[in-house]
Amino acid sequence: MAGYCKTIKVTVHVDGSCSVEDDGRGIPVDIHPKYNMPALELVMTNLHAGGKFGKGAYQVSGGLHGVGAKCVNAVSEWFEVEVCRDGKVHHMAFARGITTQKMKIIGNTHKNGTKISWLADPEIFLTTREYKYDILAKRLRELAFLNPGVRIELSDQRSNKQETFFFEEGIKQYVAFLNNAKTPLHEVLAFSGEMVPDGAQHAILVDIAFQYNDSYSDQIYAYANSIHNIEGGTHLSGFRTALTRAINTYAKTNNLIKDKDPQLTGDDVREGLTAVISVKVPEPRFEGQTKTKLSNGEVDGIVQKVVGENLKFVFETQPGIARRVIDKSLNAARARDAARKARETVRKSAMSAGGLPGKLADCSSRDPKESELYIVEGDSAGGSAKQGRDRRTQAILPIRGKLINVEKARIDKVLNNNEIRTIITAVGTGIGDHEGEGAFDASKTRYHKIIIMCDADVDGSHIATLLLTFFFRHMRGLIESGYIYIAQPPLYKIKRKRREQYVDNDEQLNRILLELGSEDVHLLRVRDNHLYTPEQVDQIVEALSRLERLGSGITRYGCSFADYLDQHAEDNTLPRYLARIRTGNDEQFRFLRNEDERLEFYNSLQIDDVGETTLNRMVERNSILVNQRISIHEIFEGSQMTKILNEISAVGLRINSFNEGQDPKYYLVENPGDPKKEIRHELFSALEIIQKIRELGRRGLSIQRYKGLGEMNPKQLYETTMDPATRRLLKVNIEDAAMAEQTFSMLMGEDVPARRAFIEDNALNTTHLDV
Amino acid sequence: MSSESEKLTPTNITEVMERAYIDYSMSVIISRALPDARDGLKPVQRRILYSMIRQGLVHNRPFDKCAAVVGEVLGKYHPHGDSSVYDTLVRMAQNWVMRTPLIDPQGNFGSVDGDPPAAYRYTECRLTSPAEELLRDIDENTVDFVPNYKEDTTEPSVLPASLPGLLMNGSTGIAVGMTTNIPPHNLGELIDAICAIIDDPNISIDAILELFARTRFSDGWRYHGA
Repeated sequence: MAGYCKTIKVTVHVDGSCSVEDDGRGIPVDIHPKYNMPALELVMTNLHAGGKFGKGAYQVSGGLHGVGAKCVNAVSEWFEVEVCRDGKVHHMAFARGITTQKMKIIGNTHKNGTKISWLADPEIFLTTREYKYDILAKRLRELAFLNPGVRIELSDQRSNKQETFFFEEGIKQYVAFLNNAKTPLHEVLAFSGEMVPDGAQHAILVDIAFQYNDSYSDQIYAYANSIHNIEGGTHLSGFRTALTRAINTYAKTNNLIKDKDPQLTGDDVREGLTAVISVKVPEPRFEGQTKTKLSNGEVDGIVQKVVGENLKFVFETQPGIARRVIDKSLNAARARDAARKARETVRKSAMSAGGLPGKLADCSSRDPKESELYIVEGDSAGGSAKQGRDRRTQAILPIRGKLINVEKARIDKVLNNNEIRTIITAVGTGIGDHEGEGAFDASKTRYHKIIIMCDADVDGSHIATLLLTFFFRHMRGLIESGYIYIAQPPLYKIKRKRREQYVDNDEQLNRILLELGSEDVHLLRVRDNHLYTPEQVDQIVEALSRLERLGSGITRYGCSFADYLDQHAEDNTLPRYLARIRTGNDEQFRFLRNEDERLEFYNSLQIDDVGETTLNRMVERNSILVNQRISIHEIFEGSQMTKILNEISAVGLRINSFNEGQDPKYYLVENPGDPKKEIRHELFSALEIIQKIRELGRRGLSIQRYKGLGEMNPKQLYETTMDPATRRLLKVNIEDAAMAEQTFSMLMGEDVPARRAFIEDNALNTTHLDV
Repeated sequence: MSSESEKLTPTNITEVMERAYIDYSMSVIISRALPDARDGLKPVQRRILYSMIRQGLVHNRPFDKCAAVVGEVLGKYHPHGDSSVYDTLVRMAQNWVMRTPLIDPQGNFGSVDGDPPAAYRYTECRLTSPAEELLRDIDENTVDFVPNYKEDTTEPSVLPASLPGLLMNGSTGIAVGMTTNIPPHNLGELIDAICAIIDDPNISIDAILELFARTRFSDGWRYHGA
């Protein structure tokens, strides 16, 4: 934030570890006089240590407690830091917050900066350790918007995705980005100001950008010191007050509002508004640990002043913009009036129709906490569900055909739609986000689980998107409270001889194939005629399948996986670095075990900067000059693979060579001991074991892609998808309202080119195609 | 009813929407709303024609009940609603919908005024001879066959089509994010044009258009995006 850093690189590696690299000043490495340890170690291990506590070092900072780096360190299986500062590269390693390698200098460099890599500790993060690309991209994009001039590069080696975020105009571009899929009413307006509050030393900086579009919802994002305050706070309230006041004042003085028009409220002037508010406060105070709400009282007044003055100026100088904004707000006010009337009629008619819709098969319990509502696609599946359900707690509502698309249709049409009305009455909350009778109230919901249960075919997917659109637009509170779920009917039915089995997903299918393939199969090592029992084979197969998945971390660089694995030492440790040397058209690989070997390698090339990762030079070869390109890659997956190799060794299979040999190294033996039935499959390498077993598993198996819920008997449907003890549900939540907003207007709205672009970009991500 | 063991996976709404939507839209684009350029047929039309030739309902044999055709198509090739199959079948027989009908109707197949056809238990049908041209030589290893949805038999991925089906009858379709709208053409002129191209593979577009004198567009016309 102080302007030293220009570029930040964030990389997610195939094994789920992550590294962050910047070109800032580098964390100080001098020995701290008081603690007698390097400042670097202090920062990484001691709670409440960090530059920001000394004042003067940083002007403003997002952190408050001084625990960020230590927490990451403490919950990482391994954690490494490299600091380039004062011409030297310093390296240090930790595991679960404990220093495993003291700081040492491992080379020279002319760069400055810090590089941190870590792997989240599986003992702490039990459910998921996966970094989702979209979440990272969203947060980093946000940071790049808020810190104009900083280039943030994100690359994900698992999916080979890469993006660079660099925005010179900051939040002005942020607003333009948010309005990307919408039709704006004017160009983005941005202004900034700063003020020193009474009795304080440092100024508070205010940056605001906004733009109206022709949609009916608002998106306002408030940031304090680059931290998103979901619940807003004083900066947001200041902005709202100033905006409402400025618009009302201008409209009245210029006679743009007639007497019969309703008063413009805060809700009205916010309709179609996209705004980003960013304040930099020297001493921020937040409500709650996660900084969701800013509570510095002085910010309110300052924001109000900055916005009020600038808005007045804009409106006076550009009356066109003022007129459009006021027209928009006025329309909103009128629509609010009309919608209120429409809602009241619906509400009345729903009540007079005698309460619950006839199609709903309600549950006998009246307690919303334990009641569940299944919204089922079609009457045929509805029948199965109704017969199979637990009628005490599970209610069934079948809907027929495709639901109306609420994103495109007008509100009165939506409210007149029969399916929509039955859903509204069945759920019991009312709809909309305004006040008054019949308005949405999440606490009135009759069920705490509303489960969307559609066929596993593509029309089912479509109906699920239509239902979600309805809930997102008109009952968003239900999603926010975590009441909306999606049922997960099985994807495959496997038939083998007379045994039937349901399979939930592709991963499970793979596991089953391996399991079936290794059933009663012995493994014979040719070298010493050692026979592995089926139990041992099971363990080997399981470990090898994990190993296989990590392999892409090596093959990505063009190196053969078997070659890399063959580098394993006596204790199964694997090289930490991979040097790829391309000389002319010839490619070679050098494996470097650790930092020392890497340093040696650099020395042999006469490079004294270990920060360099690629080298281009001309070399002589067969007396002609050819281009040589050397690149060094760090293999983050190495330690994971070592662990797996150790597991395999523990079972008694020490693999000396992974490469294919001339003669078979192993035999997979079916029915050993029976001379008539015994079958031997020749295998030339260890990695072939798993491929062959998968092939054996597929034998004699019929795998059927499962389509409709109606294909199952009521009892089967209950057991696979509805029984609380065995079912799996997706719990729908909104992680990022801005992103969700954009996705819904792109997928379900009127803008065909944006939708088409999305389909073209993602055509290859289709998980299943229907015929 | 929330037991501890219940498997609840938190999922971001954006992800659910994108995944479900891309599956739906790609399926509609690839295998529902748009015709194949080679035979001009959408999958459901192709399945009806193929099923009828397998039942021997050719133009010089007696008619058979539409119900039998619909049942066969549903059971073997098209795992969707019966109305979608019967509506398609009816449209392929209506001479105001198809320039060259592919199905020979017997009974009430509706009228150009919009009267609905009789239910499929009353009506009968068989292939027309142009339809048989689309299917000609289908057993001579001319096209690829793919497994049907339940993998107990096979269906052609495209018909051998000795006639240019797409231009002959045209096609309209609304998929997701893209649509198609192709006008029908006079079959005699089409065949003249094909012969002209065979005689002179480098023939100009203008010379081909000359041959389409009887195609009724009064003010001249043009292909877009072809």
